[in-house]
Amino acid sequence: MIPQEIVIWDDLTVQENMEYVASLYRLPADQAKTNIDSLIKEIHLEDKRHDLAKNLSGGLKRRLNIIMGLVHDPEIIVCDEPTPGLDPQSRALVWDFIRDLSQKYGKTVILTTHFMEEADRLSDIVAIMDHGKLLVVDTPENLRQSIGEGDLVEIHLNDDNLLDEAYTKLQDHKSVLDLKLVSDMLQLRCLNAPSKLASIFNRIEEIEGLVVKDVKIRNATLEDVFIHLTGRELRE
Amino acid sequence: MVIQAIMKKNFLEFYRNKISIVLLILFPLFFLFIFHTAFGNLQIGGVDTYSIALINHDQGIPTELKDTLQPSLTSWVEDGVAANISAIIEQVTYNDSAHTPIFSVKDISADAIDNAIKNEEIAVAVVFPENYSLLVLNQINLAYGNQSIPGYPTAVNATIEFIRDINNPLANIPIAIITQIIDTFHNTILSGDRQGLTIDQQSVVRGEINSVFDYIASGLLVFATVLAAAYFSAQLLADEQGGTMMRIKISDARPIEYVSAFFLQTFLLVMIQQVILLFCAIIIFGFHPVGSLFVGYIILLLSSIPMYALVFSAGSIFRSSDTAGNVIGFSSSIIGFASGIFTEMPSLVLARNVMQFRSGSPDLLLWDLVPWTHAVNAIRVVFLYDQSLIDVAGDLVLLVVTSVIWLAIAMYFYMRNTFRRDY
Repeated sequence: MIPQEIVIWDDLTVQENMEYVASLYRLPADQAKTNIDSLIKEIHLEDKRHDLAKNLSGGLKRRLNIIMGLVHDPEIIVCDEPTPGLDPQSRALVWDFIRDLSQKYGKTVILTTHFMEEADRLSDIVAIMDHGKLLVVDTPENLRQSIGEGDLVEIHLNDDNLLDEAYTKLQDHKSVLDLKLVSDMLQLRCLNAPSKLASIFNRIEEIEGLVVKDVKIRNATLEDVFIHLTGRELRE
Repeated sequence: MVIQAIMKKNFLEFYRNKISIVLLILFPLFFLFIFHTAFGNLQIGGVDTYSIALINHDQGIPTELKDTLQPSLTSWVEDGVAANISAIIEQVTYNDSAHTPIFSVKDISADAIDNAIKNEEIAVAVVFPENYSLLVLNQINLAYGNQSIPGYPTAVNATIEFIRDINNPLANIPIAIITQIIDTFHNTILSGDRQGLTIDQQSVVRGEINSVFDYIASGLLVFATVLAAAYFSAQLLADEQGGTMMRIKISDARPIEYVSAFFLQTFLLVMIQQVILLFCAIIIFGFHPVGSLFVGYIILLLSSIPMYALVFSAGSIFRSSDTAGNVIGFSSSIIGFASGIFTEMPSLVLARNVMQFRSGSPDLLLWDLVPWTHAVNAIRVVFLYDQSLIDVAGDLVLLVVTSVIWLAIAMYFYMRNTFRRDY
């Protein structure tokens, strides 16, 4: 198990931390050495091997924390939010490492995360839970498609007070498959969005004094799926 | 292997964390330094002369033996052994230039002793039993194989009684000196030098006058284990806070292995701590234990039992190492006072005459509920008054019993609260 909290001993070196955990799993010394050497190399901590853990950066500590959960070479690995607080490079390294665990070494990895991008990139199967209840289990691809086809369009207006009026105007637009009023913007879904934008903008700007300030077109993500399934209320 | 690994990890943390050295060694040394500076030259009673009473019930040597013993054994045959010892007690002086007498012997009858002690007219009364001379003859007889002189008595039981106010710790000083005089007297007789019986006065009074620092230093050595509890509590909680318990729970290691390693590692540290403190107290600060260092060391190690009870109590109550360290650190001074480390505590009696098996008061006092009290009593009796392990057995039984009961309760809650928690 790789815990969410960083559970390392600050006054031990990287090597000593690994050896200590290996001994908690009663690993024979030679097997422990092999595993430790391999893991330290995989996660790029060789040059920090003899540094005290307290002198490592947050990202390095997180990486050490990950390999400490793998020192006994488990078949099933539970990864509880492995990447919070990591810089993009470290996150990419950890993602590669976790992906290798399943693809290269054939391990089963159960990853819990609040980062939908992380789940999307690393998982073969995604289960979405809310308030302890399992809402859906499927591949990321199927989950994305489950909220409907087409592109997601996010439109920001020059006057937020007229959002409701613009929402009403677009409700009967034939190209708009789905329409939502999300805090300070309109979010709509339509097929082949770039070709439909002119028509949609014209409809909005029929309202006097209202112009489109900003627009974004993107594909649906697991985050959209999550919001779609659980709503926008804040979680505890 | 797991226990060894946990101990190794704990020792590495101890070695690399400089605060640990401060708390375990330097802090107690600081206390020794402070009290040495304050009281190092202040003798208990200074060169005061102790007022005592000598009650001599000794019937002396039976007439039928006198002829046999004369002329080889002269004065004490004629007057009786107790009379001879009494004469020596009256004559001993301090080693100062004025040769101040150590004792002032008051002429008080046996019936008036209690009142004299109560009125502080005397510090102690020494009562020699009527068969005391026979006892000494018996000892000589035994020493020389029951056949040195025909007609010697055998199987004589006699006890010299010291009557004092049990709440007056300073009464122990004249008792210790008189005990040494009597011991020297007996040893001289039994060594075969029965002619003249000259006793080297200087050897009798060589080290019995303890300073106030000696009195407090004995307690401070015990206090070091209380201070250690603050550090070990913080270490225990830091392990829990830092996720060590979680690692253990999700690994193949068992909680009992963690606890065993903790016990072993901390006990080793206490052993080292006490050796260093004893060494420094004697060499640097002039602590002058009269009794056996080994016996004192055993008592100090036993006083680690309540330390564990305190540590695991903290472990079961607190969730933060800082809180545990601070609270136990603060409590240590309260514990120090409650167990009589810094000063004699008032007699708050819970039950009378139920503790006659120990060295101190026969009454059950409120402070007896604090286990360290018994360690402090025992180590003072050993270090200051040269008593043996047997003499303090009652105190040690109390120390162990009260500590083990407390420790068992603390361990139960610690194991329940710490290792049954779900991660």
